[in-house]
Amino acid sequence: MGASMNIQAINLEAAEPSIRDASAQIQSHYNTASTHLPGAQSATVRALRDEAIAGFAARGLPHRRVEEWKYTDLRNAMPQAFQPAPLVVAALSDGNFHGAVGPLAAIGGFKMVFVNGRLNRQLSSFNGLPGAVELLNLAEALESPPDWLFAALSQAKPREGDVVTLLNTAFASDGVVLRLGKSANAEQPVHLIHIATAEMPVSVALRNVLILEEGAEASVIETYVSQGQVPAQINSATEIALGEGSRLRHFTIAAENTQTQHLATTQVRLAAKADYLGVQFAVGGSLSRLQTFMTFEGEAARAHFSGCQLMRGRQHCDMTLVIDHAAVGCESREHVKVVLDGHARGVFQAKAIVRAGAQKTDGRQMAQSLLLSETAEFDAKPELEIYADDVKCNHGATCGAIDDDLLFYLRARGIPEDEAKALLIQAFIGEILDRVEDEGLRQALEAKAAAWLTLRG
Amino acid sequence: MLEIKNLHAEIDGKQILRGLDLTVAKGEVHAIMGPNGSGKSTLAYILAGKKDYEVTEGSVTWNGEDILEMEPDARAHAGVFLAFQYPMEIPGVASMTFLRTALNALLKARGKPELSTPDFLRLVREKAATLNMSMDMLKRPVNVGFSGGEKKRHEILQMALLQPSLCVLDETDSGLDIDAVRVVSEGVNALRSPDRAFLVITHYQRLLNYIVPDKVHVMAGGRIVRSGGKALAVELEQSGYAEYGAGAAA
Repeated sequence: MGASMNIQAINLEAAEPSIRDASAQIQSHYNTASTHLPGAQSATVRALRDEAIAGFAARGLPHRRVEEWKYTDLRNAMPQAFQPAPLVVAALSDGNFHGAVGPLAAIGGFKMVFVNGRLNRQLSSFNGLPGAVELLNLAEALESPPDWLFAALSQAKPREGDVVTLLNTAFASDGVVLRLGKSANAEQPVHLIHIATAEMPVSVALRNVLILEEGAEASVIETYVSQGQVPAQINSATEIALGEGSRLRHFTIAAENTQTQHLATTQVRLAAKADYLGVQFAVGGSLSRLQTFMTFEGEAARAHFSGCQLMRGRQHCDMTLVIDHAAVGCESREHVKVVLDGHARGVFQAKAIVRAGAQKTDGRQMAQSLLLSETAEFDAKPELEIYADDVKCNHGATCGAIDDDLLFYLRARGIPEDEAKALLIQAFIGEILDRVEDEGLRQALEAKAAAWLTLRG
Repeated sequence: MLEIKNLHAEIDGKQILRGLDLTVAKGEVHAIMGPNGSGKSTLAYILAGKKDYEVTEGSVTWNGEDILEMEPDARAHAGVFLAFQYPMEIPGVASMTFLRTALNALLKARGKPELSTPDFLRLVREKAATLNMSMDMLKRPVNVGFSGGEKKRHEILQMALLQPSLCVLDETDSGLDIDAVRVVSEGVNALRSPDRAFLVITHYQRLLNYIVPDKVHVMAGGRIVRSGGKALAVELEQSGYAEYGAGAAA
């Protein structure tokens, strides 16, 4: 009797690895939270959320046998789903705010600060917006969603089957909603800062919507940090719609504590001649998956993506991109630089799809990694799916250690080994940071990198 | 004083230096000449502490200190400087950052305060001017996009800033036109002092018209095979290295 039960248990585990995962917990959290989430009074918003959680329930958390998640087995990494953070405005002292945000606090512009998934107005400052620029927070906007927001949330349907976005739609508690009218210019950067401060492990979902109409121009920074060492699960999703000839500079900085998991999704749709520059800088988290889906919908648009990962210990960072060239003559670039120490693991996946008819597509990918230890691992997976015959597409990847000859040259000038290595690592990632035109932001990122380097050894 | 005794060294199991003896007193300039493959650059790298080479026998002391046991940065702090034959390009590291980091590391190792930014800039500007180097050039990454002559001048600039006491110049004249040789040589000559020793490695006598040596040594097969005064360099220029086994790559 006892023996046969054991066999049954083993069989169950072998057949279905989801037995102990967090999917059921997530659904139960949704059942509790859904009636309090912003927009709950609106039948349409509720329907959107219900549909998302049903989509999630049908799929569960992705695991390594799902090709897009081959290197990041979320089912395995997330045995437990934390409770959604309570929907209250959490207080945070000025000192703690600056301590958590560090050099990034000094960046000027319109600031929206979220604490545990809710806007904190005291720490925020976004008055004096130029004409035709609307900036509000999602929770408030969902109380009576303007038509354009509702259209954005329901029409920009999450990438088919992407469970992370579905979860975000189900649980989103707040976020930045930015809309620039025709030819509007935000003039100063819009800075979203999210700080996880809870005393108990919680999960947070933030949903941002950025809409730039024809010819508009903006710069948006997303900064994610923690105060303290409590674990958290952060799911952020940013929906971006770029109108014809519009121009967006978009920076994502994931710098949470090493107990935090962060799933970040960026969806960009580009109309003709739109110009997107995305820079992602990942220096924290136990596990981070920064995924970007770009779709070229109009001709002659341009998207340049740069990524930088600085990881050590047992940190895991996955930057995954899908670039869908569905229009003629568009240009895409993806360039990541990855520095890994200890047992850290870095992942870069980029899939470029060139649709039939998307002639004159120009797409290039490059992944470069610097491994500082024997035990670090970098996985790069380029994919090209090309259905047009007049295109230029290529990809490349390099993986190496610090160049001994360069190190010797620096040391021969009296620079101690650690300092020389730090200089070479900074030089390695410098190519990415140099793409940040805003000097204040670039210096803040350089300071973040320098702080990471001083922890080496 | 630099004292090299019975130095044997190899790379990848291949013997390069075979019992080299050499003594250079402070205030002196010694030239080492010799055919390609005689081990001249190996000697330079070993003095600076490049790990690829293994010293199998012999000793090297500088001012009585055994430098073979020291890390490359510690050797630099002890005053050893190698002007590289092929200075490295370091994309992403601005020359000014590099110079400042090196100078500060040296000052720190000697227990002295770092230079303030204005003092540092003044010092660099002054030294660069004597080498016909523009400050714009120094805003660029280390040696990236520099011509051969600019790279060599950059080496001498580093030497002028760091004020080493043992200067090893490895084929500093290679790839330079005659004007560049003159500028670089003037930079070196300006550093000649009773407290400083120079080891000038060169294939051609030309450089020695500008940097006049106290002694000239001929290196072949991993050893010093002949030593003499500056007239020896002139003699070599006429007779070539044939009698020392030139062409027989070691």
